[in-house]
Amino acid sequence: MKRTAVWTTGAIAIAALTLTGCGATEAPVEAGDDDGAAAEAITIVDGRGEEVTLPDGPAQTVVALEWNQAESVVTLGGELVGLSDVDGYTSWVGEAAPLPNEPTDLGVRTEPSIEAVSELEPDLIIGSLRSIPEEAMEQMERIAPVALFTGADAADPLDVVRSDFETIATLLGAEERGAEVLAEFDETLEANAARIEDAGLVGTPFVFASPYADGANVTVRMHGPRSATQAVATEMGLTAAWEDDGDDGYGLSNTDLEGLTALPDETEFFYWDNADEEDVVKTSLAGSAVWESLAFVEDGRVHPASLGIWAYGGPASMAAWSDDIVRALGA
Amino acid sequence: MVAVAGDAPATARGWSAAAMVGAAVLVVVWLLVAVVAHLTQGTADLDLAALWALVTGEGTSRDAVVVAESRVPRLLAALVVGSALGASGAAMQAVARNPLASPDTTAVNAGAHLAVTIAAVLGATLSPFAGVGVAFIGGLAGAAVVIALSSGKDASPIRLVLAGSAITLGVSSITSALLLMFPWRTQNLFAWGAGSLAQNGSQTVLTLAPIVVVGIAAIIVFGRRLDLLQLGDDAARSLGLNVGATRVWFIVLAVLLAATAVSITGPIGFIGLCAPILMRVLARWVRPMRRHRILVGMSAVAGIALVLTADVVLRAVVPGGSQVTIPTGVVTALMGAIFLIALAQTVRTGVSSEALASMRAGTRFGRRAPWIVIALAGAGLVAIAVAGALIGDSALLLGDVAHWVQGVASVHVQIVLETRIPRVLAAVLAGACLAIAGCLVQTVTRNPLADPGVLGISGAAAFGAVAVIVTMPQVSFVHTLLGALAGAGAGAVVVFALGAGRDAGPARTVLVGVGTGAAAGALTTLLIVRTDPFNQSMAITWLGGSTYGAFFAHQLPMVAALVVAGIVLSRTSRDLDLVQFDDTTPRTLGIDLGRMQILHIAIAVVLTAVATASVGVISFVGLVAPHAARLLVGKRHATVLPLAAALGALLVATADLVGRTVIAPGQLPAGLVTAVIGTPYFLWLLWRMRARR
Repeated sequence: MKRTAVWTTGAIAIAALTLTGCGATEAPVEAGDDDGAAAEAITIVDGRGEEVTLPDGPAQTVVALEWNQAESVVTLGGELVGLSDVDGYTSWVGEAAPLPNEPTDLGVRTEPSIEAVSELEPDLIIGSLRSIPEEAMEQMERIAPVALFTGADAADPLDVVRSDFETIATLLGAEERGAEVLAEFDETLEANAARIEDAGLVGTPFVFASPYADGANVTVRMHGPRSATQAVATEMGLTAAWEDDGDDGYGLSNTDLEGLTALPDETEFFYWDNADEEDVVKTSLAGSAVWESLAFVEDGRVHPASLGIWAYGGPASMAAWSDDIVRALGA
Repeated sequence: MVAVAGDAPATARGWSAAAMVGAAVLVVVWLLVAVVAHLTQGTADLDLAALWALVTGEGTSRDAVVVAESRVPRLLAALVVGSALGASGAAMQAVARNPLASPDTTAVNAGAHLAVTIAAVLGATLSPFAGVGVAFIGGLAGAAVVIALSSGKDASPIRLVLAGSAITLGVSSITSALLLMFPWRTQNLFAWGAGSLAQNGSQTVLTLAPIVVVGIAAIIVFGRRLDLLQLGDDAARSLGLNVGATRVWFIVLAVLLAATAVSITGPIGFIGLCAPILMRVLARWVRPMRRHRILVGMSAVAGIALVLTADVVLRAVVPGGSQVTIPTGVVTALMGAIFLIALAQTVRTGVSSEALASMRAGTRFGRRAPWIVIALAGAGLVAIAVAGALIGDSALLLGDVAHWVQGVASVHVQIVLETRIPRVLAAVLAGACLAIAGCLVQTVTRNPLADPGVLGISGAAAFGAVAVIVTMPQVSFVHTLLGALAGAGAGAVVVFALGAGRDAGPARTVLVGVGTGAAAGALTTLLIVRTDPFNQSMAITWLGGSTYGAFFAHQLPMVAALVVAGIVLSRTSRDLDLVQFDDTTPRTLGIDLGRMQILHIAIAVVLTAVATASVGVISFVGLVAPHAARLLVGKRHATVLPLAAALGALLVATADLVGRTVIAPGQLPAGLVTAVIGTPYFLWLLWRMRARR
């Protein structure tokens, strides 16, 4: 529909161009129509280490280029007017932080449409470091202040989740709500840790994995000890079953099926479930002799989890993830 | 060229039998060592000692399972795929009577990959047999097109490589476009596209192995017909062979083998090329191997040994978990590239029937009034550029532009125009740069099918830029530009140092170029699969040739390069007119040929690098635009060069406009759209060149 609309307007534009030669979609702008905003300016330092200033005070309307930051805006009750890949967000993050409204879809996360963002005239654009080219960021900066976040740091994964969230809360003028959410997050972690303890599961080896299959070829993305998802599990009293430290941002590493033999026998094996993707464990791994020979598979300690919860998300996702662990373990 | 079974002095029967046994022992020992080394490698903790314990019945049950269900399947995959590709390549080379034919050079792999990707996009979950069927249809289509376009009495072996690599380029662009448009459905097809041996159990391999066994057996059983084919069509016909049917059946068998291999592991590149060539080299000393029954069998064994060696080397060099993400095909592609470059050194100079000079060019009107044609192309370009500025996510009118110029436009209009106009400009400039670069390379190498893309210079530039993108913490344009320049420069040095020389014809340059491109491509894939997901999608998008985020200042290098090129070429265009025909005419007229070539290649390299740095890889412009220009106005460079530039700019600007609007607000990189538009035109061009003969 949108496509045809674009084509139709395009055709009309050409027709108008050839028939009348000139025309404009809007009247010329008069100079000096500024009504002199009264609110106090807000300044923060973002993930690039750059100062970002909102001259008119807290952002009322926000465009998010990445899902992590979008989740935080939704959690904080901010008005998200534009988002990259809305369907993907709904599928992968929608359970932890459902969209209260229908933000404009900006297209793929690697090339969000600058024109669409400009049309939305947001007060603030937020995203992840390096998710789009620097030049595109510079163009975005002409539309509204741009704040970029690291999104992940394996050195202290949960600290990044908290500090990014707090910064976004400041930008939205929602510090109170932010503090509440973080306090709730800490309470959730504590309560769930208590339940793990009550269930006698403290010290149980735990891993979160994401298997991909292509024909006969299976790759398993492992969330190592320095990933945010493992950090949540560790704070709840579980231990990291997968030892590879992984990359310095997300703490991820890869292995294949036989590599899973390195996991301890008593591991609780969690894998990422998604409503719109095939369940690789059921379609590809089940029936494989290596998989079936793993002790945790034989004993039924394999759990589909994190449905609609973004493993690289903010406090809402991490709290939902913590609850999901307790649910799956029946603690 | 590599010696095909020929006229070496006859040797005694006994000696040749001994040599045959020796050759067989040599290949089998290589195979055995590779097999044992292969079994000890993997992500589980299971080494040679544990393997020996299993053999003597003392191993643990888990080790037994890992060996039986993970190590052995991978080994089986290597056995099946290696033998299929080796035999397939040997049969293709015999049928085409061309030592450069192989599943890679005939676009079988690219066609099969596209077919499988389309199936994935349509949401089909395929059983192994259905997968082979789909891959077979795609592969057969690829092979049919390439072979049809490059066969014929006068066709040189190089033509097949050129047609094959150009079609591979186009077809893989379409595949990439699909991968970008449907990222969720095709998530893992990117790594698959490079060929990975990992197997989850033996089921797929064992299901498909019978196809390979039957295919190879059929080729060997009817192998004598391949011997007859080598005598030439007429001689074979007089001996009672139905030449046409024989060709078709062997091609079908060869494609079936390659397609089966592709559906098991993805394209493991260049095995089908290298294995038979190695065996042909061996056949110089071992007479019985000149018979195709034996040659095909030996090629199958050599194919296995090569695949295993590549896999062993990969896993010996790359530690632990990261080896999982690196496809074996990357290593074989690197091996094949080195092989191709080495092979090129033995290519003898021959008068190529493909010379630019032999091509008809120019319409009557175009030759009489070239400037009118150029003006028309320019007007078309202006129209598309204006349309490009007005059409996008939201349409604007000229009045908005007028307001913008006067500085009274709203912020929205300002921003839209200031992001859109640089994109249009980037597309126009890049198209012009690449078209001129392609035209120069074609003229200087006198090869109508050469361009910076085919010669691997674009690939090398892209490698340089991607290396910068994935290694630098913050990517700035200057770094990308320097990376692209360094890459393109290095690529050009390799191509023209190893591929040109006093005794080298255009054939050698092209072979080295294709090899360089393959190596650059493999290394780029290596960089991409090794980096984190953010960098990954950024690099893939960039590779697609995108004007996203184009920026006025970043186009200055292109403007500068075009200005310099314009000044130089306005002085040398008469010399270029002479150079395109032969070596002797310009020499007798006192032109320093060597200097001429270096100067123009350097210009082409710089133009390619600046364009690649700004917009990523955009192929086909350099191939298609110069030909279109020659068809219109003839061969005088004073008119061909400007027209080619205008047409190239027109093509890329159109592609950019289409890419920005068809799936808006989503975006398709201009490079992919260019390839999608350019491929059919290029096919028509190849067909036309063939039909003239």
